Amino acid sequence: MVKSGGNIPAPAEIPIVLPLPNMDEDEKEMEDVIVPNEDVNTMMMLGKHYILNYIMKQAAKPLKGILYHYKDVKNYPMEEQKKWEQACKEEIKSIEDRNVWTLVDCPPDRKPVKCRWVFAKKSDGRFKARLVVKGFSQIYGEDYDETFSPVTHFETVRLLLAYTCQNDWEIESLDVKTAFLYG
Amino acid sequence: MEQPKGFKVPGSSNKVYCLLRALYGLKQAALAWNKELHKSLLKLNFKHSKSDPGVYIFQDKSGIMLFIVYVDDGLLMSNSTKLLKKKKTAFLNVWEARDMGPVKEYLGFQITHNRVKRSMVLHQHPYVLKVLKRFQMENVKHVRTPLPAGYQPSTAPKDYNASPTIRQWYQSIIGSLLFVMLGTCLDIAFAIIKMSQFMANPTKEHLQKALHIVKYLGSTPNLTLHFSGGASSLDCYSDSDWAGDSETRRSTSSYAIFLGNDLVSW
Repeated sequence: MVKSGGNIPAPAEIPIVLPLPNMDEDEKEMEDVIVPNEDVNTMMMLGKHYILNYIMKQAAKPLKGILYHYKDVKNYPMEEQKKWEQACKEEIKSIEDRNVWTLVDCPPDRKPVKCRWVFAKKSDGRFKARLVVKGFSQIYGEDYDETFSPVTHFETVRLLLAYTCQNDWEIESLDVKTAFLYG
Repeated sequence: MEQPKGFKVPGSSNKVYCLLRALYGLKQAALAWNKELHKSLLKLNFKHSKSDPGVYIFQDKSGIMLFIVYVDDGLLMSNSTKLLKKKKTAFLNVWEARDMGPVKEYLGFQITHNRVKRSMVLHQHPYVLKVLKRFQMENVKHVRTPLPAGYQPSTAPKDYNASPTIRQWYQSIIGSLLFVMLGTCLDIAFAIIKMSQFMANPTKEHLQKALHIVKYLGSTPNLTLHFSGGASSLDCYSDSDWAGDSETRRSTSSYAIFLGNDLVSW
């Protein structure tokens, strides 16, 4: 089982030409491997697999400068630590404002669903934290039954955009904050 | 639910939270939200479209208004400014939402609406850039075609079984490209459909060709989808390549539907 968004071990059957740092080793070592983009020729000499491996490893890594595990917050500068924690507090507050949960004793025969923090830096510089439930551990029939939720077809969106644009309609957009907390 | 890390309630760390409402990540979260939204829109006298579950329509003497819902993103369209303002205010009273004014972005589409010329430009470049960055393809050599000319993908050998890792990589590439293709980039539609046939058992060659499509997207940052109006007739063009697959002799067919001059479906 691969951890969600986490490291993906190198595939066994791709022959690795150079001794690449193993994904299981310290992550810091991974970051030290710099293959300059302009030096494609060297990479070509090393073989296409080398490039392919490199590309895919980079793609599987969490983003730099963005908190990935809550426990790693200590490694960040004080200023950023505060911002991340502030973001968490805001999220907790918005959850509690909506009476999403109450504190109870766990029934002896049940296991609580786990949760984790997801962090992001928004394009306008805001620090954002969101608490998500690890829904994959829920059991069908026991914890949930129906989950299908309809969405709009892209065709419909384009068709209506084209139509309304031709006829000079007013078009505006909005997005609902913390939508899923309402349900 | 267990208590979140870093925010355990002091003195009762053995207790758990009982969820009264849905949270992100919960399996039933999307459905629960959709039901609530549906109810509230009906209360605002919108009618639910029968052909598309995400479209709500309101009509009275002052005009027509359309409300497109995509999970938590809403798009409001109306031929009457007053009606739009009125309904938007009513909606904002019910839900805490960010009013983003005249449309600039929707579902990751960047939208430039020119009301004087009655034209519109759609593209997904920010998303494409993200994909390029994710696969380290920002500075690669440009290519002119989505796939090499005349490329015929070969199926994997019979005893070949893709490792779960390759499969996951391949599917994540095709998945990100599929979103762009369905959104605004019909030029990669054929290549994507072709390559997605190998989703279940991709070889290294397929993986490289999928990255070729990513390269192509990076090479064409100026391509956008243009809506420029014209007569509002609905035209459909279709074609087939008559047994284009040299291995199975199967045909690939495709279509493009235009509303006036605007390509809306492919």
